[in-house]
Amino acid sequence: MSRITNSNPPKRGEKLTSTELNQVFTEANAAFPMDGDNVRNEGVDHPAFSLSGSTGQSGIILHKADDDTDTGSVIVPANEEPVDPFDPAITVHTWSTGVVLFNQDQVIRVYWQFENTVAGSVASPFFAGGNVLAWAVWLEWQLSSGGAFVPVPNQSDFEDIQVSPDRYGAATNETYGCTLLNHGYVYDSGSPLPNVDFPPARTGYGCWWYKADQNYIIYGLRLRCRGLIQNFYNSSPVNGSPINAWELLESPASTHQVTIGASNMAYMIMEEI
Amino acid sequence: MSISFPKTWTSEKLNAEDVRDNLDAMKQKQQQLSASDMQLASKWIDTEHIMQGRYTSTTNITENVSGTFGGRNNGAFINRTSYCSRWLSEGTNGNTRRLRIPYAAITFDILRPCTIFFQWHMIHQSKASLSLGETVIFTSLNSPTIAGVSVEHKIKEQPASGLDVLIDGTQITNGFILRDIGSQIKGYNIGLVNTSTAGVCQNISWSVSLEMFYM
Repeated sequence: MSRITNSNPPKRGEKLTSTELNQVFTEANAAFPMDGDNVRNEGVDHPAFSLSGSTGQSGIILHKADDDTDTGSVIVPANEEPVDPFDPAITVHTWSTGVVLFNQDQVIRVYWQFENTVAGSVASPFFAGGNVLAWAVWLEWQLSSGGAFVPVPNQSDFEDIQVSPDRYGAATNETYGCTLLNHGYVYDSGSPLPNVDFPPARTGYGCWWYKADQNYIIYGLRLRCRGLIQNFYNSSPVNGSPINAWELLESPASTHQVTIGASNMAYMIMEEI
Repeated sequence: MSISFPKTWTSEKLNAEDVRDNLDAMKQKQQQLSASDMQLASKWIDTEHIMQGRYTSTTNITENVSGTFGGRNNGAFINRTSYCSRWLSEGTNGNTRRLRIPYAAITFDILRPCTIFFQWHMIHQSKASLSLGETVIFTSLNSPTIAGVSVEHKIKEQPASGLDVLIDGTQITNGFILRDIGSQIKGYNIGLVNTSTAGVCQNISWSVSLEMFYM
């Protein structure tokens, strides 16, 4: 309880007065009501909290966290279609998370890492002076049991019209939940084709953070991949102001591929502190 | 509500019985607090009431009631270049051993069940040699031989292209691990280990970070 301060306790060897005696008992009542002083004097530590017995997911800061590994391997060939409909994106990791409550104003952090190896040759769509060919690996979520996966907020599937009528891709402000893998290191612009070194086997990494604007229930997460894409400055977008963007290209699928190997995903749902 | 003392003295006569009754009234209140004895009109728990965190500057780790958080980095003004190489990690019969990467681990106390999230990035240069090998980075969970996840973070040795190592011999690895720890473990260590069949893989700069949640 709050501290009882005896400001004038009866003293040895002196005559005890009723005033002093009453004051001692009255001061005991100064400790009421119990409030923050009681706690501050003791300090709040682990025993004062209702914590989980096996994890750190008690819901005070961290609500829920989990991870999933897929040891399989998937080949993603390049898109060969010049116009819509394009070759579909390839799923490289599907994770049935179970029911995950993600309520308004909570924050979700999703991370992923994956092995990958590109295969290609110095041929179209490489061009002299170009240095921007890439593969996109992005995050999608499933918000109903057995329902469709859709890209997470602020992320595109790279199939949005950028410039009417036939340039599709994604504006860069729609690539928040995305990892971009460069297809080749262009070390000389060259002519008619550049000199290119293709990356060796490596790992990719990405993350996506989001503060819930409403209550969500997540049933699954997955990673999708497609390419090749290249960036450009979109001075006349179909919507909004001019912006940097990525364009889905037409490429020979037998020549340009990326193999996604073992992958691991993790999420954390947290209170915004 | 406060204590109802049965006796308030108005004269100089002091009886033991009166004193005892007042002391009994205090005991009874202490043993039977009610809602009206508590401040319920408004919230009064705030961060100031929580045990203060402790920061250890040598390890750059803060230990709080909520968890332990910290990180290490290497590069720029604090540059401790380290190496992975088959000359270090090769064991008998061509097998490779997992070796720790110096300055890329965090040791901390786990005081109760928790959830840990560890991340790192590292920039490597692996120049071409006769071996054309590779270096593989793993996270280690309190043991060099216990890897966190099965994703292998590979740094292939530079191909024999004749190009500068900056062009095709420089790689970046990024990784993470999420784990629940169900018990108290003092001196828990999480960090990076490697196996290597490369002639040399020079680790240029890196950072590791730890988030450990109790609640």
